[in-house]
Amino acid sequence: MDNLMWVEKYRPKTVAEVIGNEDAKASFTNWLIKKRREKAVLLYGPAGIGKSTLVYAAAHDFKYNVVEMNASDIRTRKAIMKMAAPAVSLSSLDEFSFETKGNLLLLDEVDGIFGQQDRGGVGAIVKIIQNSRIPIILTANNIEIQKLRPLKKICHLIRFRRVRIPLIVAFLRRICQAENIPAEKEALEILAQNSLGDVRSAINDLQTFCESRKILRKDDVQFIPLRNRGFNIYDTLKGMFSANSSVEAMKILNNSLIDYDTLLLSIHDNLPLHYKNPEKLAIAYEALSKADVFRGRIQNEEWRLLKYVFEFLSQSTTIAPGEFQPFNFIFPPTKRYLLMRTSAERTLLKTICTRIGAKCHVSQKTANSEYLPFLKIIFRKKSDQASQLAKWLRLDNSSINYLKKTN
Amino acid sequence: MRTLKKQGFKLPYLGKEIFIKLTRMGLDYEQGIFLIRDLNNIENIRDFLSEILNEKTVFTQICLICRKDFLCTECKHYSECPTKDLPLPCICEKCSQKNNLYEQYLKLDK
Repeated sequence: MDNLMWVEKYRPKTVAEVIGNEDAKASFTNWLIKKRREKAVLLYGPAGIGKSTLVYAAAHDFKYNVVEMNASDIRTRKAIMKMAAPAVSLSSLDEFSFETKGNLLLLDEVDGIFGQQDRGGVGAIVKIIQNSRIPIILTANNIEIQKLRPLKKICHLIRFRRVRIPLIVAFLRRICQAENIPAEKEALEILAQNSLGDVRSAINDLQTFCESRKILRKDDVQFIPLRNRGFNIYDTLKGMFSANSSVEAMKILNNSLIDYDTLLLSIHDNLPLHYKNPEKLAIAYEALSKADVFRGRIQNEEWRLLKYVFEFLSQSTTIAPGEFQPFNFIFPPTKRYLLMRTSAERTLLKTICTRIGAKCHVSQKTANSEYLPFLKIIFRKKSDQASQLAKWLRLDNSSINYLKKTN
Repeated sequence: MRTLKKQGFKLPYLGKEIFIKLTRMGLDYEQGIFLIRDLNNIENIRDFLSEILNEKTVFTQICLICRKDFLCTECKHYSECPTKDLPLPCICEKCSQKNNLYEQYLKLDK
């Protein structure tokens, strides 16, 4: 028992023992015990703040068996269907027992379902949720990922936040009491502050410092290196726009979890809200355009140019330091919305251009720029020629309607 | 600086558009009082209120132990707190001096 990690040893067993996020806890337990409008719940927030722990604690309190699939499992469509589908559709024998209410499916870290390895995973989860007869709980650190949009639509969303420092201090003190290690309050406060609201890392730090010590003093932990904190989009934008110098903005950029292209688009959208003065706005856009040029030159190879992207991005948000007025950030980028809205139309256009290209032996690009404008006129004005062309190109009704209606 | 209570707060008349936006962001309105319906978006609500009221807007904190209201600025962890000025339960400076804090926390009817 002594060799156990303290994170495991002191893992809360009941919902009451989970510290912080009181509103999220109440919302989750309400969802679990009352009639559920949504079949699944998505708990999201930074790592180490008690999302999975709460699920296990609630399962203990309300007598559910947890069937878990976590990030270490391969989560392809086939694997998910094989493991989870029977669990959610068949009644468990346990349901007939007084001791348990049956199964509860926990899909941990669903934002980690990516790429070739987990192909079709999100689609399989959506299908399972739709056919489920048992509660399904998903957890994620970041739900702004495009791939999770189908899940967000069908789940009840509950946000978890970093746990507040006084609560972490209280929990660390209780661990020290249980381990019979006297600890100075200041030492525990330093550990809690350094954890940035991540209870798991605070406990790990405490265990590290308590190894081979009979008493924990402030001096022991005073020079603990600062934990790198990854900023989400909200913190990144707020930090960059409120920074007093480009160096300060650059520090935030260095710790941001957001990919460079999304960040570039987001800054582009939010600049007019930040700078009311047109001259300053023009200077900011000038810097942003230079950042965009360097981002283009990097492509996937020239990463040595990244420092120039950072330099110009941080310049664009700090043209007028000290003049920051809080505003409501625009996110996700409007360009992405536009692309999403026109996705069906672009697919249709691509199909038409492919057909023209195949028949006329030209590229899709040439078909689009040199053939399509004339086809549109023919389809609008010469219906008999249009029907012959449609037959020759094998165009379906939606393509014909598109050519008739667009200019 | 304008201080708002989590339990409900009043705002001056700000127009129909802003009212609609606030309700969409997660506020409810009952008998002249704005109530927080959805905490998921509370940072944006706070920043939007700061923007439209043209002054820094903060929410008061409720101590989990003594149930009293207090401000984040009174706390010594203010600069390090990752969720400062948001209406989330916390522990006030006075209560955090207590030795058996975790035991008291467990006994709470949260």
